[in-house]
Amino acid sequence: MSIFKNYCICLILLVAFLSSGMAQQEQLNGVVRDSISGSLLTGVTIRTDSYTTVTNEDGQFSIHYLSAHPLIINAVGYQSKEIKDVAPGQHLDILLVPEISVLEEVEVIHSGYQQLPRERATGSFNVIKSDLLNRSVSPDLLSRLENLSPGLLFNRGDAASTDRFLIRGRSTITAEAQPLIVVDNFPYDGDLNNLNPNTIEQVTILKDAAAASIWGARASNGVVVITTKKGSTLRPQVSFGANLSLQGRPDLFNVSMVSSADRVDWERKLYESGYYDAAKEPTTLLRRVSPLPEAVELMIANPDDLEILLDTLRHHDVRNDLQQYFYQQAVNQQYNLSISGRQQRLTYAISGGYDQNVATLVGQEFSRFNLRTNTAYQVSERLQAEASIAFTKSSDNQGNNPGIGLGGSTGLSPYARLVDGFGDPLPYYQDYRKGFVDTAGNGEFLDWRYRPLEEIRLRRAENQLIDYVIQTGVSYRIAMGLSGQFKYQYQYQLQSIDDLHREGSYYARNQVNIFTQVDPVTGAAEYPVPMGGIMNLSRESVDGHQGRLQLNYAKEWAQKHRINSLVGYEIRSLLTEGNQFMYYGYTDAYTAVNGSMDFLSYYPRNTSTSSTRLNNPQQRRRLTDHFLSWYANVSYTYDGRYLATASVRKDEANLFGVAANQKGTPLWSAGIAWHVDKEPFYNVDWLSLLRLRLTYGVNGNISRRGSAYTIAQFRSGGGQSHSFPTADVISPPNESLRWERTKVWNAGVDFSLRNQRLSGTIEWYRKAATDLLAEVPTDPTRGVTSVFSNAANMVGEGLDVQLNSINFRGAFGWQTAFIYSYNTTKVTKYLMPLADRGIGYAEKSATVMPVIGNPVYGIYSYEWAGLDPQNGSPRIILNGEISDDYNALVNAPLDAFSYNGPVQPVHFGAIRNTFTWKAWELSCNISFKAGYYFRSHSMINGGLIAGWTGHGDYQYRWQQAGDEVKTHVPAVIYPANVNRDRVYQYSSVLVQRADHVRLEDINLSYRLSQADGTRLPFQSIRVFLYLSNMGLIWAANTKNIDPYFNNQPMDAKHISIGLNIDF
Amino acid sequence: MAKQLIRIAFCALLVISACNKAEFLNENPNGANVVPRTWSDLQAIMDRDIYVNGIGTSSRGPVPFLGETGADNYFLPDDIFNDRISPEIQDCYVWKPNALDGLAANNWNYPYLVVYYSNIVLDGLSDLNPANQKEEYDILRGSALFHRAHAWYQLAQVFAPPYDKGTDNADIAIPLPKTPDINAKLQRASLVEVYTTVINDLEESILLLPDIQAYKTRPSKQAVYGLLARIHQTMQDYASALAYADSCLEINNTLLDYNTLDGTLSYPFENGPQHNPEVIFNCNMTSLATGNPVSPVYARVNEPLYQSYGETDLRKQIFFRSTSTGMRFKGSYQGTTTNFAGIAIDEVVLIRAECYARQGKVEEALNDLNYLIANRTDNSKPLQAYQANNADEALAAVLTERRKELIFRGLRWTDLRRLNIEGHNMTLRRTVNGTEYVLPPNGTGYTYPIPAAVLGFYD
Repeated sequence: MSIFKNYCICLILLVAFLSSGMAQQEQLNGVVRDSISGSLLTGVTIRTDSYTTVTNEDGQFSIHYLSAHPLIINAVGYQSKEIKDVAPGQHLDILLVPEISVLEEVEVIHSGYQQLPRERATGSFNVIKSDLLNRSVSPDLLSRLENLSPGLLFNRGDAASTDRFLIRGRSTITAEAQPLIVVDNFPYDGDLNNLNPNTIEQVTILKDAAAASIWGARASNGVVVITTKKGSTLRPQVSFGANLSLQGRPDLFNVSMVSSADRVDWERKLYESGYYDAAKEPTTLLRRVSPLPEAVELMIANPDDLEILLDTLRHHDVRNDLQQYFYQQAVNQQYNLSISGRQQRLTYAISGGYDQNVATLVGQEFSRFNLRTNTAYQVSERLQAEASIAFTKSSDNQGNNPGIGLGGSTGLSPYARLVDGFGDPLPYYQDYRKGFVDTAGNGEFLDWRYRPLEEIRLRRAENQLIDYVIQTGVSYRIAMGLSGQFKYQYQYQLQSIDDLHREGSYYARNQVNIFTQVDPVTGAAEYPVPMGGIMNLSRESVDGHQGRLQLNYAKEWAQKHRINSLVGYEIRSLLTEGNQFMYYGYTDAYTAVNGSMDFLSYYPRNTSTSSTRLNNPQQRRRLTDHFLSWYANVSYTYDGRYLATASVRKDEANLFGVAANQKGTPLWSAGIAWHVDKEPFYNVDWLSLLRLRLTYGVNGNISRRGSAYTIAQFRSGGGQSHSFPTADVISPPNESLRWERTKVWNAGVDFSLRNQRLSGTIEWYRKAATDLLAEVPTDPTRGVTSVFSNAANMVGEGLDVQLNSINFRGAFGWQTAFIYSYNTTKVTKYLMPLADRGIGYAEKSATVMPVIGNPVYGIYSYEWAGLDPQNGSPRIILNGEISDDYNALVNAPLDAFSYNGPVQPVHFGAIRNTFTWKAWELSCNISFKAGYYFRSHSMINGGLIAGWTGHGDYQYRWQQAGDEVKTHVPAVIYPANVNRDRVYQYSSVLVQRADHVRLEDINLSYRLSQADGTRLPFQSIRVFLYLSNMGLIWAANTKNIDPYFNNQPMDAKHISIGLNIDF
Repeated sequence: MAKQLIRIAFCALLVISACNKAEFLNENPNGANVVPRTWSDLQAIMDRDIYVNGIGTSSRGPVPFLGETGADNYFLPDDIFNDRISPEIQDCYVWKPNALDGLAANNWNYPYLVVYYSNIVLDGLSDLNPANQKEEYDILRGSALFHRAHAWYQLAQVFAPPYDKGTDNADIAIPLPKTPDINAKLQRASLVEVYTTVINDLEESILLLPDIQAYKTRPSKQAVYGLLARIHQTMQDYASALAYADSCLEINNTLLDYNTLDGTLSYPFENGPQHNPEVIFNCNMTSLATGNPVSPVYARVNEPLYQSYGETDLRKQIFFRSTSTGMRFKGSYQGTTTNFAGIAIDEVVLIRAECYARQGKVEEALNDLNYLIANRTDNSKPLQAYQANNADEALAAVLTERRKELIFRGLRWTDLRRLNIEGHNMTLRRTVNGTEYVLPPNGTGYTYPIPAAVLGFYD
């Protein structure tokens, strides 16, 4: 850390040097703003007879002014302006009037290092502005980006377990695939849920090499640059927003379950075939303890009214209990207040937000408080200082409510009764047998029953996050066109999880009972685990320092040439520390009794014949990330028609050590663009904008799987023959490790019809990822049989299309926005041999199991050959022949499987129609995803026996010859055959196309504004109604499964109402 | 303008130089893992006896079990051969080894794991400044040199052709990795290179190691002398072998008197190598979790060998017990079913006796030989001391005693290779399911093929 401090001191010194000793020069300074909104304009050209300059990102400029010639001010989208008779030394405040014909405001791209107008970029950028972000109401930012920008994929349903969020597909095997998130110039290392979407001005997505390569070793997955709101208007702007969302209980009947009647009958069958014989008169402790389903207990007890009791069970469905008592209607509230403005030399923006959510799962609540201030102060003509503070505190509470996941390892009996007729909790015996729980301990034990409904409130798991980000910076105009800036950010996030199982909770009682020692002679009890609650605590802190020193240079000459460049040096140090511990005997008075407990001795357990130590988890973690980077970026424009850009960056990190860093090559990109429409010969009247772009470059990615150093791990307990400390070598040194690299081609065309009836962008890209960190077989002579090395390759290819059309203008308006993305990826080089058994690829027995020619995540299955008409057993085509040799099938290599397709969509997009009529606006978004697959669930024979529940396909099982034409669900056999189950489970008959179209959301709003002549106590008000999660319109699969909720509780529709007021 | 650029450059320089960039970038990324950089880190790696010495039940160790697999101490009853032994080992048992696949891990990879650990220590030590810890530094370096040379030597006994003093020994042998860097180029060295390197490293370690070490998993100077005596004997350089055996026994020549042991125990050496005064260096043969042919669980001692122990010979009871399928070995110095394969004083005494006999020093040879059997014979009975009229008789006596003393120590295979080169013409025979298999003297069967998984990495 001290090293880091040294660096910062050096950087600060450097800035001090720069700002103190600069020669003062005679020149004219000023600022350029939009005449309507008052916002500062970047990239405006200011010309005198002999000099030219452009305004910086704060709208500032400075220019030599020698004669009485006029100043000429030009900006795209604005009427040009001439100013005469300017006195030298005067500070100008220039207002530019927007060109009426240009309805769309100029899009400014934020790369995190600079801001530039879109027409000066060659790369692939997408900008999402705050009005679009605020069209939806979710409390987190990321989900608001969904369906707004091509190339951005949010995986849902089963696919979400692979990658949650991707830009232009996955281009790594073992490393992080999630895009880099940048908030106000620096990578954000906290929890993304800390960000309040309402304080965000815009989001820029950097997709290709030219856009992202300035982020070097972290650019490969694309970058999401988030910019928060800054003050800009002369008049203070105060706005307030509030909304309320409601969501009904999820539909639990979307989780298929064997019917209670079928389950009772099935258990009787098992009972009669002797499966439960050993439990009838248990001879071992294990038999006395192991729980049985309720119906089986009844059959064993065999009361006179057995049939009546079983019939009661047959007619009960546990999902009704769950839905009514364990789930509830969700209520989310969101409030925001912000004030921003500009006074003399000070700009400010202050915003506060509060979110309060009650989830559909009873006992789960979330609240978040945000505060953010952004201020900038113009100290002198040359020097500007800025500071921002963002504070977030959020709290996520949960009770002990597994919801539909109740039932532990055996699953929940479909006929289980969790609540009695009066709504009072009933016990459920899932860990121990009823008879054991009722009699164990001769009255010395605590009540050992588990009553799920009561338990909800007996646990309080509070996940609290506190995060603050402090950013300061100065920028200094050194000379004509040359400016320097220094930025420093400190971030601290503390996550604390206090998971309290209160006194009296089943968790705490169970721990006490397991170890309670009853003296067989005296009957006296001892309690190694004390009475009281049990609290699990964990803390994790992220402590990050980032500093940046950057020089910007811009020059325009001979009215045709323009150069913009920057060069910078960056340092980053991130320390993540965590620890975990446990309090026993916890009470609300903050007492704990760990000190008097014996964690070393072995205590006999009452539930098994073994002795164990008392659980005493304690853990410490410490991760350190150090980065040093330098970067440069330059763009050259000729006559506004031709544009060339280049960017280079070199990163060095402690991941690789000094030796490996030295071998690294810088990551770079280059791009060109041609504004065809600005050519003198261009005369296509109907096509008012035509621009072609082409870029190529190399982006990097970080993996922690390899190590440049030898890594050893100390073993506890000394050696086998001595008591000295010993250490294992867990990873050999690999000094040739380097960044993963992705070479990206991007070609794009931007166009717009006259009057912007139709405008859009079409881009094609190809990503070739090389040097991917992957396991590689190595000569065992080296002491290890495989190492992680830069040895795998992938390629990805795709298309991003964005089209906007204005279908109707006038009192009734209709606009359409269409986005479409196509993306395929495949592994092209992977050196580890295929696993011996192909079923590992179907079961996904490892996190990644790459197969050359396919994407990292794919679905593999046995080729289904129908049920055997003789006995209803599943059959598979193996080596061209129908087979039911399940052992052979399970041991077959991957050749025996077919590859169905990717787990992630290949085609996806959305279409958003917006209708306006007077003050009304109605918009709706329809999304689609296609070209991917999922595995549907079905009956598992073995699970029916060992578990207490089962899939509803049970009722469609093969029962007699001829059924094989109606069903693919195999006959139920007893005893079960594990491999027969696996073969069926991973057969092609259960693989489904995931293609679907869904109605995402509908937004209806009404807006009143003083500007329209309405009399209002404030400037404007907007009220809206927002409906989301509206469900499927069409799905390709034959079973009517929504791929987002594959055998999962189906989320209900979401309804929000809200208002925004600008004062 | 130019002035300002100079100023900026100056400041930038200040930033770079004021701070220790190397230190910043060398910070350990994950606190749970150790980048071994200190003497104690490296010592802990070298002390990882479960891997480095093969102690415990990890099946690892520096001595491949394939040598013992091919030697003539034992046989496998047919039903064990048929039901308990993998096809790959069945092939080895009948001296027709195929390209090793599953066996590679336990015979090639594990000894090379010792080389890898040693290389990590040597590499780590080279970055340390020995000035403040000269002695510890030297001992650790000597230990790593010893472990590495020992593993190389053991690998050469199995995967390289026998060393023949009468030839130039230019045959291609095994790779000698000398750095832990996984990118370093590896080549198979010639036989003479292997032995020269092993001897050079061991000679260096003599200067670094203390005479003895408190823990016998750590190499001592006495262990180096013992190993050098064994290696020179393997190379048929008996003069050097004698000198090193002498140096070794000068430090300590105590033998364990078997009269103090309880021969009725399941494992009479239950106290283990650490408390056995004979043991100089403690390490084990590699093993297999199941189906290890040379584990006492399966291996049955060749009947003529068992019968060669006299009635007053304590070893007959201490080393063996009978089973329904034949005699079973229980005399591992490890005191378990694991085969001890370290260095002990009995072996060094026998080396010296053999060298004496070969030099015609009959009396000295007999002295050593009788010193050994005095500790092996029931002391309540009269000792039948060895007699010899000439050097040949003395040598024959030494070799007979060597055959009996050092069984299941991983030494017989090397002896067979060496003695056949010298014309002893021993043909090994095994009968499996009625078929007889033969290993002729100096046959190709005395050199195992390099594992297939390894060979692919070499041209």
